[in-house]
Amino acid sequence: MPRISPSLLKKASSIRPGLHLLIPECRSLQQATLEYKWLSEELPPEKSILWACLQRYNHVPLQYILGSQPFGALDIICKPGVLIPRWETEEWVMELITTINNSTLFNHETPLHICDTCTGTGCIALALNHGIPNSTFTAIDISKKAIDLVKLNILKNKVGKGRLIQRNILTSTPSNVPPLHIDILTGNPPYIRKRDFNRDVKTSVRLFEPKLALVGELEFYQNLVEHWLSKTDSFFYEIGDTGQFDYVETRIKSDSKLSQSWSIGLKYDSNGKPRVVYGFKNNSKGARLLPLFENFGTLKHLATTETGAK
Amino acid sequence: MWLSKFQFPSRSIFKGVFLGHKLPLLVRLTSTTTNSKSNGSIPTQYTELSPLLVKQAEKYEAELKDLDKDLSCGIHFDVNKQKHYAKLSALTDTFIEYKEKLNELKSLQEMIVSDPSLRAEAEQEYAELVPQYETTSSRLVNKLLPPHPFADKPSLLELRPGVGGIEAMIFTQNLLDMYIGYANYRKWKYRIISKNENESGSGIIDAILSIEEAGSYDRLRFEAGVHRVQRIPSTETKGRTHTSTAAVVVLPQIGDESAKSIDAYERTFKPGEIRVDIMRASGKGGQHVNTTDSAVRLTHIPSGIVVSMQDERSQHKNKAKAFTILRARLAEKERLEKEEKERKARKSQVSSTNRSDKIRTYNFPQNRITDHRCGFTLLDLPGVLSGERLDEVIEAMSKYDSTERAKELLESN
Repeated sequence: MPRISPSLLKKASSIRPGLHLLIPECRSLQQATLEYKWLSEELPPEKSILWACLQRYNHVPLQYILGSQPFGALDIICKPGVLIPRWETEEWVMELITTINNSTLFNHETPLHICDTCTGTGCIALALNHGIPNSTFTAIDISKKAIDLVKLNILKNKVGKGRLIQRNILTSTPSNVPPLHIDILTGNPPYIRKRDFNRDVKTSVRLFEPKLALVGELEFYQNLVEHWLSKTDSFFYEIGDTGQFDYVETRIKSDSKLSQSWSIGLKYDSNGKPRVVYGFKNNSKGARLLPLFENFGTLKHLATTETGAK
Repeated sequence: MWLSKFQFPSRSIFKGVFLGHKLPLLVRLTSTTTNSKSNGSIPTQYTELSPLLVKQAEKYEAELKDLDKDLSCGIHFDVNKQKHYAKLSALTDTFIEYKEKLNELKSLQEMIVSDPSLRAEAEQEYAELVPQYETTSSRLVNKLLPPHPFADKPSLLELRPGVGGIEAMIFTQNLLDMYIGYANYRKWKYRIISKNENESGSGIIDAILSIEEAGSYDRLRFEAGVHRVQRIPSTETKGRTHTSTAAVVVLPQIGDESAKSIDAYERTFKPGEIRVDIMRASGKGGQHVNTTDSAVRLTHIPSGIVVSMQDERSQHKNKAKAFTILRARLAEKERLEKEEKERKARKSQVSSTNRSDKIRTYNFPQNRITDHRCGFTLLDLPGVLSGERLDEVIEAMSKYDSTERAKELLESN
């Protein structure tokens, strides 16, 4: 990272007291001014802005100081101990909602069931439930803090009630995990490789966000292929690098049964990074999904049977 | 020389209205009747509408009668026809009122001339009736004119300083406060969509104000143009008067910008027409980073219009706002192009409402506001800048505008 020049700090402190404290986190005067504006507009009245700037100087995430992060139409409450929703996630979730709502394939008469693993704040499940008419959801997380926060977020955003489950999906036998049938499975599992944690992760993330929600190898993608594919018609899992996509693709392709019934795609975010691995089943319902998701990302593997055995 | 100075007390703090050039309301499309030939003691005179406009009104009246017949026969009206019917009946009501008032005035006139015993009473009644008549007739003219294509839309105001450095930025801030004050005065809902303050001192670099009241565009569209201020700036040390400017752009808001409709916006553009740029960050993104990089830039490739938005913490919301502004700019651009074409076709002179002209002067030493298009002057700067008396300036402009448009209508007939 380029060094911050002392003159920039001096200039910032002459504009507003405390503004220079934001420079190390924001890296530019423009971004710092914006953050200062957000802090002065949204900070709870009992807290001083100078205190907030000092917090930022100590790398505390803005979202924990303000206690929220907008996510689509929702305002998601953020608390230490639970991962902050990212714009990349917001982007693909909003696109998913548009893709589904634009389609005439879903008549919205039969409810769609959404299941979100590693839900954290619940942002994905709540945004999908809010955006898709006639849908129900299940949100699963290992952490009690996360589940409590999802409850708060449901109340705050007035979303319909869903089922919340506190469970480690890696250890519990999948047959025990409800629901029985899922239309849309989503997840933002920890995907930062352990070897990258100290090198690639921003200080603020490393110091203040829960490692439990950040560091993971392939175990959740393995869990997806082995346990969830049989229960769902489609899945959308966020990824951090192409390795995770390759893993899912190879596992499905190499399994003769799975490769017949599943089509797989990769979606990049608008920053040009691989972001989502998604797939849909080629059964009577899933076959209709094909034209829908052709534009969502790039299809990498097509189910080998045309219409699939019902 | 001194007499003219006496009449226009330039330095006195004189609150009140006077008409710089008497507003020629309905002049040229009306025939003025100086009524009593016998003596000049008729207190006020009135103006009749031009026969062309009356003919137009009669045409609508006849159309309404036909529709009435259809309605009584039980023919079903669809939504458009119902709207048309409602419009026609409102217009005809005004027209009938107009005719009644006109007849009353005429009979009063006769009375004044023919019956000396009732003259005093008749004159008084006549004087009371004339202003009522004028309101009715201007209402009728307004209804006869084709409505502005965006008349029922909410509006967006974009403010930018022009020449004059920091003083211009301060003036831009004054204007923004004025429009906020005006919105409060009219009890309109408003929102500051974006505002960039001058980092080194006071004033603003640009601001976008959204007035969410339907129909506010019709009222505020006269504000578009260059506003000029003449005063001794707070930054001036030697006490000299400076002249600075600020530009105001008024755009119609097409549709709303709620998170749901943003997708609808994107869809109405052809693929490849819009380029969406975001802040490109190096590194892996996603869970690795939690900085709020929410700035969005839209480029409309066919027209080259670029909209940047960064005020919200959510990229999605910035995108929604940017699309609103882009839509508004495109709609305004299309409207101007269309108007220009029509004007050229008519070969009439380009009216002075051209946006490149300075439209209004705010003169502080004289406590005066003058709108250069209609020549309206008001001697109460604080009142206007607080937004409370801006309505009077806008009202004068609105009257001037309907006169101009009626003129154009007559010319094209």
